[in-house]
Formats: sequence, C-alpha cells, structure tokens
Amino acid sequence: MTRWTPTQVAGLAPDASSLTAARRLARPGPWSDTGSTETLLWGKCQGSGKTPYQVSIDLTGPAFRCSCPSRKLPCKHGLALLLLWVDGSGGVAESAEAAGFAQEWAAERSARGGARAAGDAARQTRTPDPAAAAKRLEERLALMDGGMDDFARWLTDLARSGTASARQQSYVWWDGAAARLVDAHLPGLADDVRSVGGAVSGRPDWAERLLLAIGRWWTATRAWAARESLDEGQMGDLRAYLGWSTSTDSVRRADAVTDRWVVLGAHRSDDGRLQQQRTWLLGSATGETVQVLDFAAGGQVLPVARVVGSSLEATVARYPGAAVRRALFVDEPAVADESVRMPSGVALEDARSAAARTWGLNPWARRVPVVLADVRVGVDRVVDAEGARVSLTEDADVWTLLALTGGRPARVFGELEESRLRPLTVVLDDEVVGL
Amino acid sequence: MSEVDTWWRDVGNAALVGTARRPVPPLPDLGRAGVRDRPPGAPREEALLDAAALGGAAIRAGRRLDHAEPPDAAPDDGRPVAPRRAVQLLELVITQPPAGAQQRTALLVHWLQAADTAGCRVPPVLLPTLLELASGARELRRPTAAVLGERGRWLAELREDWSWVTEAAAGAEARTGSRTEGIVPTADEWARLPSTDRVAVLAGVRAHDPAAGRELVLSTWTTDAARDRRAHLDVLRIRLGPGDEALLERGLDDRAGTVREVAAELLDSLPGSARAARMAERLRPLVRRTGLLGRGVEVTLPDEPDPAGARDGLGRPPPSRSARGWWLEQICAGAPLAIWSELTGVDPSATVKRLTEAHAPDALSGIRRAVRARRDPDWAAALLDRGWDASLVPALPRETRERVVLTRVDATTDRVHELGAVVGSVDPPWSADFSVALVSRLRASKVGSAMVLATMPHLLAGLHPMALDPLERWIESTGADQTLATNLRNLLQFHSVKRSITEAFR
Repeated sequence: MTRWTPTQVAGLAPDASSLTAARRLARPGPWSDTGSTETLLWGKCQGSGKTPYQVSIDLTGPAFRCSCPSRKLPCKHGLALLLLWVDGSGGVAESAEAAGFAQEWAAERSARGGARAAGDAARQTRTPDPAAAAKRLEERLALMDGGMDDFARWLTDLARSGTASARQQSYVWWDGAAARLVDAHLPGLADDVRSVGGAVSGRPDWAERLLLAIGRWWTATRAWAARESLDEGQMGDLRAYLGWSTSTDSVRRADAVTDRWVVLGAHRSDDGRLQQQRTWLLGSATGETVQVLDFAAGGQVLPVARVVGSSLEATVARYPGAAVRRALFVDEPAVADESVRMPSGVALEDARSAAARTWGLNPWARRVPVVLADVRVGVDRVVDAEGARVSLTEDADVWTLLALTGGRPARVFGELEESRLRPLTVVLDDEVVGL
Repeated sequence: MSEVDTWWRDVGNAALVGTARRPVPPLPDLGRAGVRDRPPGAPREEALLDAAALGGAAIRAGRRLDHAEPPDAAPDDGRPVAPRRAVQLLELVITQPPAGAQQRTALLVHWLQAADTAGCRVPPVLLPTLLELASGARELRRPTAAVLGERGRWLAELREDWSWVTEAAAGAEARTGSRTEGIVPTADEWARLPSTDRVAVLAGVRAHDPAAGRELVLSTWTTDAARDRRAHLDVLRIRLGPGDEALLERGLDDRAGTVREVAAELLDSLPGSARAARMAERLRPLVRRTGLLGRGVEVTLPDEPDPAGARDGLGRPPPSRSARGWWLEQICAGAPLAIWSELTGVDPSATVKRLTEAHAPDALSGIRRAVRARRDPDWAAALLDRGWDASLVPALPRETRERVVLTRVDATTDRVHELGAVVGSVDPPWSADFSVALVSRLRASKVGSAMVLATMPHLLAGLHPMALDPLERWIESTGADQTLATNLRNLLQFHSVKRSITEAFR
C-alpha cells in the first residue's frame, strides 16, 4: 500500500490539539514493536504509565484502536503512528505478519461485523406495539397538517402584502414563522425559512431569491396537501426537505444494495453548531450516485473520511427518495480487490440537463453530483470543451484546483448548486485528488 | 426577451408590491411541462404563489448555460518537480514543523534553496500553501520565487496578494544564475535590475569574477543614487583586491559621506594601497621608542589633518570622542601593520605589550580594526593573548580559531550570557571535531541547560552532522530537565531534517 501524505493524516485529526500532540509523539523515541502490512499498522507507545499503549490501525477503513483512555477518535497515539509511518524514514517497517494484538483486533472487528448483522435480524423480529405506534403517527400528522395550513396562510399573506414589505420586517418576524414550523415538527422547512430570512436584508439579488424560495415553500405546502397521491420516492424527498427524519433501522431494513462503489468526492462543513460530512459514492453495477451524510455536534467527532478515488465493496441502504438519494453503510465497507475507475465525465450541457431531470424528480434536491469531462478552470468559473461555462461556488478551493490543472482540461467531480459548481475532486492523468 | 422572461419579470413585479395592489400575469405556455392555468376565480394570492413555484422550477431546470472563452493555460514547465522524498519533507516542514514552529522558516529556506540548486520546482498541489506562507514571511519570498516554476508564476499572477512574485521571480532568476554559475548580466540587464536584487547578483558575480563585478558597479556609477553606490561598494568586500583600489580612491572623492566612509573602510583592508602608504607616513612621526634600551614606546596624538588627510578619512570624529584620538585610530587602522616592527623593532606580540603599557588605547583600537579587516593571524593571536575579543577570532586560521574558542568556552561557564558571542565567532558550518568537542563541553557543564539556550541559534546554524550522535546520547540522559530535553530534541530534529533535505535532492 502506498503510504499516505501528512496532509491526509492531518485531515483525520478530530481537532487541532490532537494533531499538535500527535506531532510531538511522531518520532521513533517512544515507539516499540511497530510494523505495517498492506492493511494494518500497529505499534506500542510508551506514555506516562508503566505499560505502553497498544495502537492498531486498519488502513482500509481507516479505523483506529488504542488502549489509552482518551475518548477522542482517532487519539493522538493513532495519529502519531500514522505520521511516523507516513514519514517513511524507517520508523515503521513493512512486515509480512501483524503483531498479536493487532491481529486479534482485526479478527474482533470482522466478527463484530457479523454480530451486528445478527443483531439487526433480531431487531426485525421484535415487533413494537402497532396500536401505540399508529396513535403516535396520527398525532404527529395532525400537528404537521396544522403547521402546513398555518404556513400556507402565512405565505398567502406574504403574497398579498408583497415581498418589498416582507423585506422591511425584522429577523424576529422570520424567526417567529420558523419557530412555529419547528413546533409543528417541520424543522427542515424552518431552517430554510431562517436562512432565507437572514439573507433577505443583505443581498442585492434578494428579490429573485425570495421569490424562488416562496415558490419552493408553496410547492411543499401543495405537495403535503396532496401527499396521498405521492409515491414512496416522492414522499421520501418531501420528508427529507421538511425534516421528518427516517429511523436508520427502518432504512437499514428496507432498500439495501450491494455493489462496488467508487468514492467520487467528499465535502466537510462546519457552521460552528454542526459539522457535516457528505461523501458521494457511485455504484459500478447500478450506476447510481448516492450520498452518505455524517453529522457531529458539540464535542462529537465526524467519522474518518473515505479516501477519494478509492473503491469500496459495500452494502448500502438507501433512504426513500426519487433522486439524489441519501444512503448509509449497512456494515463496514471493505476495500475492493479490483478498483473502479472514476467515470469519464460529460460536457456541461449534458450535466445541466441531467440536473434538470433530477430536479424534475425531486424539486427539493439542493445539489446534484456531476462529473465533468475536459473542463478548464478559471479563477471563478469552469469552461468545457464546447465553451459552456458555469460559475464556481464561493467556498470552492479554487487555488488548489488552479495549481493542479494549470488551466488545462481536466476531469472534475463536483456538486451543482443553484446553477453554480462546487468542485470536490479533480482527476489528473488518472491520479484522483480530493480538494 | 422571450415570452417566459417577460412573464417572470411581471411575476417578480407583482410579488414585490403584493397582489393587493397588482394583478398576477396569466401563465405562459410552458410547453411540454403541460401545466395549465387555474380556473378563473381562484384567489390572486394563490395564483402568484403558483406562478412563483412553476416559474422557479422552469427557470432552474431550463436556464441555458452562458458561454465564455476558456481561461489562459499555464506555460509548460521545463524544470522537473522535486523528487518524491523531497516533496514529503516539504509537506512535513509545512504541516508539522519538526524542531518547533520557530525553525520552520529556516528549514523552508533550506529546502527551497536546495531545490533551486538541484534545478527542481515545487509540486503544483503545494503551490497555494507555499505562496500563502511566503506572502506572510518576506525572507521566504525570493527563495520561493526561484522554485515556483511556470505553473507557480502563472498562478501567482491570478491573485492580487501574490503579485510580489513577478518582481521576486525576475530577481531570483538573475540571482540563481549569478550564484551558481557566475553568469554576469549585461550592462543593460544590470541597469534594469531592481536595487534590492542588484546586491545579490553582484555578490554572486564577485564570488566568481571580481573584475566583472567591479565593471558592473562602474557601468552605473555616475547614474546610481548615493544609497546604491554605497551598497555596491560594500559588496566589493567579497574578494577585495588591489584591482579595486582605483574605484575605492574614486569613492574617497564622492559627494556622499556614506560612500566616502565605505571606501575608506575598504581601503583599510588593502595594506599595499597608496592610501595605506600615506597613512604610514602620517604614523611614522607619531611613534617614538623610549628608554635607554629602546624597550618602551610613546605614541603622540596627531595634529589637525591637512585636506589630503581629511580625504583619507581623518574627518569629524564620532560623538563623544576626542578628535585627535580618533585620527590616531584612523591612521593605525589604515597603515600597513608591518610598519610597527619597523617603528618598535619587535614582533607583534611585544608591540602589543608595549602599546598596552604605554596606554595607547586609540592606537590599539586602530590596530584591532586593521587586523579584523585584513584577517592577519599573527596580530590576531598577539591581541587575543592579551584579552578576549570575539571579533578578532575570524582572523585566525580555522583550526586555531576553534581551539581558542573551546578554551574560551571553558573559561566562560560562569558568564553564560556571553557564551553566544563566543561560540558565534566561529562561522558556520563548523568542523566535526569542533562540533563534537563543543557538545561534550556543554554536556559536561553544570549549567548545560542554560548554555544550550544561550548558544541555540549558533548550534542550529553551525553544528556538524557528526555531533548528532553525541547529542542523541545526551538526550537519553537528560532526566528531569524537560526544557533541556526539548531544546536538544529540537536541535537534533532540525539537523536531521536538514540533512535529509540535502540528501533528498542528491
């Protein structure tokens, strides 16, 4: 296995202080019994105690185990061992067979994978009280119905008095509408109202944005009113937009598909309150692109990012939805024996019409994944071989992209969002680089 | 404007003022979407909301792409990317500086210069990070500009806060050429170089071909500003020789006092010059042997100099200095040292002794300056025998120099604050013997921790790789002294990374 780069390791750190601590440890001094195979990396680190900590790392996951008491994942010992390994100056030698403790852990891990499958099966057989569940559902639907009616009236009032007067309203007015939506179990819609309300006063294009938002909200109220006629996929997308969560158990049970997936790209964001990680996967047999979402709030830590461009053998379960479906891993994915190549990509016009079809199926899809062939990157845009252009999002890492491509045609994976592109991955001479 | 565009604009206007004041335009034909207008009689508000929903969906899905010219591409790169191992080291230095954050810049500069010498460039993916770092640290800019390659220079042109690259790159090219291959710029190229780069280019040229360097200085002498004339003259220090005398004499007649000062100072280094002979003539009548056996010496202070003397540097003294004492010092600094044995009849060591006994501090200061400027080992040894002076150490041959400094280190252990200057008087890189001996002395000392701290900058710059093993053994036995252990570890890391960088480019 080719050793990683220090930047990749730094990307795994749960916070800055862990990384700093790990850097202090990333020297041969405190380490003993280190070694690595194709998939495992292990070593013992002498800490303040008598017995050294045993550190094992599964490079494919990657997954970490350390006998230290730290609750951070990965802990500083795991990061330090990776750094030492990456450094390549002989601190960690290649070895044919893993040390005892690392092997045990690897064995436990695969056994646990099996056990979880068994646990899922057990959970399925346990049937909750159907009468109580039906009653809870009825109460929830009644609340949501009331909230939607109220929201439709609010929209009608807004239409009557005009958006110019809505712009005069203080944020409290928007926040009040959002709070009523939260009370009616419609938190996703509430977030959208808050975010549009917050942007209305400051942006020069506020009128157009507000008009489009009103249209989106109205579509949601009409769709909710006609929900009897929606199919399961449409209902799934509407639920996701409104913020009516689907339990992971029911997702796990429902729509699982086993395939070889290539990791197209990933995006991490942190709004101070919530960290989010989006990983896009393309199934080689199904040809479907799904997104795996991970969240972390407060002191929680996001799961370790998948290596962009790598291929995973995995069963994923898809959330109900019509297009741009969310998915979750049913069990821990394994690195595929045979790697799948990144797709060759399409021209911008084709990507745009694919996105249009997607929005036709799911009007609430915020972003559509696209692989673009032969696009040239400029400071604020990409231009394809036919001269069609699309602007880049403000958060795009355009300088790395420019440095890597040098303005020459390259394959780029990204998300189309409100007619802008957020580039996430670039493919150069078959080398896949995550941005 | 298409029918849909007109309609959408009207919808926008209706939404702005509200349906209470404006009617909603009827839906246009949305083609295959197959949407039909609501039957008349529906509330206006709902018609507007329907229009916003449908129009929004239509515009989102149906908006045509703009077309534009593709952006300009970067030119091809001639230089190869730095070797893989070197790139890993660069990433390491950037993301997790070994030897502490303060040493990062020094290691980066080392990496960048090693890459430039090896004719390599930075890999594209690290360009933004490096440009960002160099934008914040001036000492990184020129070495960075030298290894950006075509891709990096192209990238820098696209961003305002990287615009320093253009100028730095032009200078870096000339610098690289003059430093590594002794390429002499033509008079035109020289005239066009920014002032800040001229000094570096000139230094490179001087090191290879002193005469060519002098010609460059002469080519712009009459048009250069005083500040530049001074700076250029100052560079002639590198491989100064009798051939430079004519230009220096010209400097003595310069309009600017700062230029005259440097010219006189440089002429102090040329004991065979006409000015040195003139100074000798001024010194001769001032020194007299005394005592029956002529074993004493008396030095009288000179009188007001004539215009020729003033031209040679006997001008206004520095503040709070007696004028006549200052002139004596200037005369002694300029005269050939050989004249002293003629005047006193004894060797340098005895001369120093007699001058000390005669309380002639101005004469001795002048001699010290002459010794420093001419790097005269005999006189330096003679002076050092009678008292420590770090500035005289460089005049000794390297072996003697290192021995003298080690002796001095032993004598200085109780004055740790002076130790930095003592050790710093041996210019880096140090010999293996000296480095090992110094480390063992520091380790043996009771105040080793404070000594390491005091000499850290010099240890970072000078230590020979052979001293790294003893250093490592020392770290293992530092015990409870965490500060010492950290400092030593940083030192060790710094040197081993530096060595790895050098090796990675072989």
